Amino acid sequence: MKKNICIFILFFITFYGFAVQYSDDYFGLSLEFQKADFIKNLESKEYFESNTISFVFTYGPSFSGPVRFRIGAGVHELSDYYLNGGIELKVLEFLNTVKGRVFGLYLNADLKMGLDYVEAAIKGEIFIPFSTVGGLQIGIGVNHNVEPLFSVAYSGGVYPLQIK
Amino acid sequence: MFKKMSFLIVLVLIIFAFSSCSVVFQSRDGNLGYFPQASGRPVGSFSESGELWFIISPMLFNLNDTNLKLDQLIRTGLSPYRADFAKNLKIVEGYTFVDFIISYFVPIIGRETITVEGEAYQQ
Repeated sequence: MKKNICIFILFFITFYGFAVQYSDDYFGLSLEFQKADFIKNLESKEYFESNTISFVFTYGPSFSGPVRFRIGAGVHELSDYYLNGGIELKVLEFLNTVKGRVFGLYLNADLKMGLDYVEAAIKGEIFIPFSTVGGLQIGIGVNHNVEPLFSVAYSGGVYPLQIK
Repeated sequence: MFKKMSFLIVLVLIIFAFSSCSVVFQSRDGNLGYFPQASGRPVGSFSESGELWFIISPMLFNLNDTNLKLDQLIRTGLSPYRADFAKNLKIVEGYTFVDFIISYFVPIIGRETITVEGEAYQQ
């Protein structure tokens, strides 16, 4: 019992005193489903219109502060392929003991650009964790045509542990 | 019915959100102690790491109990120095980039890394 308490104390001393073992750079991955103009589409029962599916890599270098960079690719209505780039502003974020996210609020600005499809959008998103490094990121926003959109993403992110 | 379902969903979300955020560290063979007053000659420092595999959460289905075998990591770190004990131990758990990739793409199965650093002493 004593041993366990000692190890427990050691762990907490470590956690607060030696946090430098984690990278200062954030890495994230996200598989995102987005539906634009969803109010009109749902009213007219056009459930499969204006959908996009994107896979996005997020990188948050230490020098950029709360701003993270997003790059990825996706498909619009399962036919038009595009590349995706943007930035994510970390508004509020809480981390767990392994430097994964427990909760987060974000503002995203994305540009999707393909041969037959272009869209710019801005969204507010909330992150709800399902595991230590992953969770559901739900967003709502507006695109360049001032159409409302929502997104649901399986999102993961972490400040990686650096081992010697 | 809806109330029950909502309650169940909320419960599952809470379990997923909080149970996977902490790991208990301990020794299994009883040889690990913490004696800051022990005296000896420092012979070097060590850093050993081990992978911890789990299903859903290390607290729920721990597959290889790395977090419970810290003494093995310390012994491995001490052996090159033929040291007798360790001081100033630092235990850190986290996800390396590879751990993160595995845990993201296989959401049920996860892997994290535990590192133990310290100074080796001979008596």
